[in-house]
Parts: sequence; C-alpha cells; structure tokens
Amino acid sequence: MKIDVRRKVVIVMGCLLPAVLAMACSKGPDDATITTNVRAKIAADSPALANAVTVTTLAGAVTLTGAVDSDAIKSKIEQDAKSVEGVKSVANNLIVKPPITFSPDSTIKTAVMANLAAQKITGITVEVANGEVTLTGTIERAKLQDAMKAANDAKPKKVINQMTIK
Amino acid sequence: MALADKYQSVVDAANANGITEFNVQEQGDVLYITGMAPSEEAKQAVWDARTAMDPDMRESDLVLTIGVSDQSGFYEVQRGDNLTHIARDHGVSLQALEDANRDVVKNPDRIFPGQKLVIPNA
Repeated sequence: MKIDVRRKVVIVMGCLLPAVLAMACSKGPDDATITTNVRAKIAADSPALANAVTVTTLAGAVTLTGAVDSDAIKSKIEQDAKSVEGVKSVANNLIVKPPITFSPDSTIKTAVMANLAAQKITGITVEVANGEVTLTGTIERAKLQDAMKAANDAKPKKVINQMTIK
Repeated sequence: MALADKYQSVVDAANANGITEFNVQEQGDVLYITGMAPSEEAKQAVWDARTAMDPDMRESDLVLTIGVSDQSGFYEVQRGDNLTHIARDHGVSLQALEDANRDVVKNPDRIFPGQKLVIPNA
C-alpha cells in the first residue's frame, strides 16, 4: 500500500510539474519589463515624448498618464503600448493640452516695440501679420539675442528673423 | 513631438536652470517653450542653449518665451534722471517705484545722483 501511495504521488507530481511550468511561461514578461518596453517603444518615436508620458503597469494592465499635444499623439501612444508583448489592457489617461492662443497683431507689435526700446535697440522694423513677427533691418551680432528675446517675449505665433547681422 | 526632440538641448537647459510653469508644446509646425526663470541668469542660460544650436537665429520653428519671476533689483540714480523715466525704463509704474522707495526718496521730485533705488517687480 505504501508503495502504491508513493507511486501515485510521483505520477501526480509528474503531471503537475509541466502544467506549473507552462503556466509560468505563459505569464510572459513581468510588469517592470512591460513598463520598460512600452517606454522604449514611445522613445523610438520621440525621446521627448517618452519623458512627458508616465507608464505604470500592474499585472499586465498598463496605465498612461501625462499631457500631450494632440489626439493623434494620444492614440499613437496607446497603439504603441498595446503592441508590447505581455500587455493585457491599456488605460489611456493622457490629457491633450488645450491649443495655444495668440494676442491680436497690434498687441504683439506694441510689446515687441517696447521690448526693443527697453534694450535700446533701434533701426529694426517690426511687422506682425496673423501673429507672425517679422524683423528686418541691421543688427549687431552682440545685440541679436536681445532683439530675438524682444520678439519672443511678446508671445507671437512665430518669429521670422530677416535681420542682416553685422 | 519631433520639434521637442530637435530642441532637446533647450529643454534640458530649462530643466537644469529651475524654469517653472514650464510647458513644451508643438502646434502648427512651431515649438512653443514657455516658463518662468528664477533669475535673468537662468533665462540667459536657456537662450544660450538656443543660440548654440542656431547662432544666426534664422530658424522660425521655435518660440521661446521665458519670463523672469524675480525682477526686483537696484538702480543707481544718474545725473539727469527723474523717477518717471526710471519707472518707464524698468517697465514699472511711477506709483510702484515711489512706494518701493519711500524710505530713500522723501520728495519724488528730488532725487540725487548716486542714490540707490529699489526697482520693484513689474
């Protein structure tokens, strides 16, 4: 009888072990590995984006948080996450930033002119159209950065530098 | 975010120099980097990172708007100055300048070369 019991135990173990091993294998990568792989996948598109997005994984469920520039980027990151091995689900909690708005041209122009005057920069023509500032005239290289700061600090849509640098 | 990658060195400089209220956002093929610097030196460091990339500043795909949160400082009165001009040159109101210097300037119409005035935050 004792021998029979031992035999049974051995037989049961023999059946269980492969099953346990198979289950362990089917679990796939652990959560830390999944997080690393999702981050790497995002970084392959854009390293800056990978820094802006937080990835957390719990039992294969990935949660994405952070703020991105557009809906298109938000869905792209979700697709990236879903494509990683071992990911069971993706909670896309990314926020799309509201679009940047711009002051009227006249306000931007007044600000640029005031900023140039504060830097005692003269001889530069400032044109603003559709939020875009165009600077023309001649500027000393030593003053170029100050002139560009004057334009950028007015929060324009764009700065087009057509100044001649001497 | 391709532009954010292009201008990573500028973003890094902002992070290294304690820029707050920091935002990096691409819209319409232009990257907008905004924030507040704790000092003029910090703002300068961010601008130097940009200038290093584009010495002639011909690129129009970046708008870099860094304010300075602490603009208070001192100004030494020069011959020919008056409070109205000093206020205007520093972008502060005459009233704010007078209020900040009540201890030094007894009569706002009489200031003297060499006096050190406090320039309040704009």
